[in-house]
Amino acid sequence: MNPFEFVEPESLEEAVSLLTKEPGRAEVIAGGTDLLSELKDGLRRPERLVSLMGVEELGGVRWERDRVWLGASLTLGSLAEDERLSGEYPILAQAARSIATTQIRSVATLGGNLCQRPRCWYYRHPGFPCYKKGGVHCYGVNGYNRNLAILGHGASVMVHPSDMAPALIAMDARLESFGPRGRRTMALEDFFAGPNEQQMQEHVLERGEIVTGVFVSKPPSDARSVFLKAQDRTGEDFALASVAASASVSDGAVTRARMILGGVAPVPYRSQKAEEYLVGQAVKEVESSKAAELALCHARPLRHNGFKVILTKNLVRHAIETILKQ
Amino acid sequence: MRLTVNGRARRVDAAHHWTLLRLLRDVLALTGAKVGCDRGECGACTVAVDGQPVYACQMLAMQARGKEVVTVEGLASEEGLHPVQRAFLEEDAGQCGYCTPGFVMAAYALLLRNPSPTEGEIREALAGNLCRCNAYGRILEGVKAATGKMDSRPRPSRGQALRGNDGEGCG
Ligand SMILES: Cc1cc2nc3c(=O)[nH]c(=O)nc-3n(C[C@H](O)[C@H](O)[C@H](O)COP(=O)(O)OP(=O)(O)OC[C@H]3O[C@@H](n4cnc5c(N)ncnc54)[C@H](O)[C@@H]3O)c2cc1C
Ligand code: FES
Ligand code: FES
Repeated sequence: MNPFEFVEPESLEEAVSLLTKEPGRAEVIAGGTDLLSELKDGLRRPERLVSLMGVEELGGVRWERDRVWLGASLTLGSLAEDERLSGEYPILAQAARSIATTQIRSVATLGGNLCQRPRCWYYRHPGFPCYKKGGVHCYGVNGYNRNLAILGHGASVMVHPSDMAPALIAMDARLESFGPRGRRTMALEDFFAGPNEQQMQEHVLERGEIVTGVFVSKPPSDARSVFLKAQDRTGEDFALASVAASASVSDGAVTRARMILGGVAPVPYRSQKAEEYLVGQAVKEVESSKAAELALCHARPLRHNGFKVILTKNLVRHAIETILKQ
Repeated sequence: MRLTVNGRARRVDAAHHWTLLRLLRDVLALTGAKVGCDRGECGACTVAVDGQPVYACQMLAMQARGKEVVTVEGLASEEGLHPVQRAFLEEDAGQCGYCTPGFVMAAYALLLRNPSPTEGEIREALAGNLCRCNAYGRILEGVKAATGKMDSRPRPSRGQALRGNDGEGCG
């Protein structure tokens, strides 16, 4: 690893000013579980790392009357083990528990999970000057692309690796951030940016802007949800595909539906077609395989990943059957 | 920087870009935590930080500032081996032994949080440790044999000096 200076400010303002002082030279570090791999492989060479772990206000879970705030520095381990969260937002604990290993979850943070970089092997390999590193070419397009995108690809066929993102988007979460221009919130769905919008990052944060937390509204009493994930090996593999589904049912009919796919597109992919199909349907008449076909109707698999289309359809089917039975 | 290692308060000089693993092995001469993948995937470097299992290769030394680190060298005491170590020996829970310190520390951290885990909980807690010799069956038996045996032995805490193979020549 190249030498750098490690600083641990105690306030957000200080962190932002340290990040903006010499733009391009400083990076945020939270748990470091993703960033350290990039630094070891020389994919980034910051001169300064600004740690967020000294900023107390970024930690913890805050319960409000009709929503909960999850701090950016909350670890995935605490998220998975928080009993009240698991009770009221089971989909979030399911997603958190599915991520990596106990050792990673002890350290990895929610903010870091949402801001983590692509896991594509061409991106991670120091020898490939790929598009997401500022090059002109996405090696995944014609290379070995078994794990890469089947949907929504543009200049790069990377997939977004986060499992927390689909689960949170299925709960209509809002992301809160703080930057040189102050505090703002946005729908988490709008936080992610595909390769055609942003080349060198996967979100819309400005230079020096920091994710501070995520708000999730209290789900209606008739809401149900599930997070499902397919991996080569359970344990520490990233998702080949994941599905976060939530729905409300009243008087035997679906009144609201969210169907978010992870690991299949450069951003968490919302399948509006499947959602539209579900809303208004009588539960008894829902054909989960029809919804699955609709969810993947825009799929354009690459040479080695046609199987991901079938896999994802099966996950969608299974997710719908699970939530309609709840 | 200051941190507590195996019950002993230490002051060490660490470059900002060093990992915790490098600090432990190269400065404190605690070579129990092994270098495997160096990417947070194999578990050979597992240590406990404030009671939580972590990959020492995937954490900067600076991130352990002010924290309490326990390595495999810190488990045994004057009374002998730690129950997890004893159980691993008795159950022959390893072959070449390279992964063993990591597994022992992952099991130790699990039993701190949950003294009587189910088999499923053990499997989940150890999923972040790989064994190239494929001794998983024995390792599982080792952890099972250690369950329920940790209460008698509290983890080293600040100020409680444990005599381990604590390195020399550092702050
Ligand atoms: C073996 C392994 C398996 C994994 N499997 C999965 C998996 O199955 N599913 C999954 O979702 N993830 C998986 N991960 C990724 C893991 O979840 C991330 O590494 C972790 O969540 C990152 O969090 P961190 O706090 O360590 O972030 P860091 O490594 O500190 O940061 C990650 C990135 O986000 C930026 N960043 C961090 N926090 C903020 C913030 N608050 N504001 C702005 N930018 C920020 C950093 O600059 C950096 O670029 C795996 C990782 C490993 C090593
Ligand atoms: S050496 Fe740290 S996890 Fe492999
Ligand atoms: S005993 Fe050889 S690697 Fe596990």
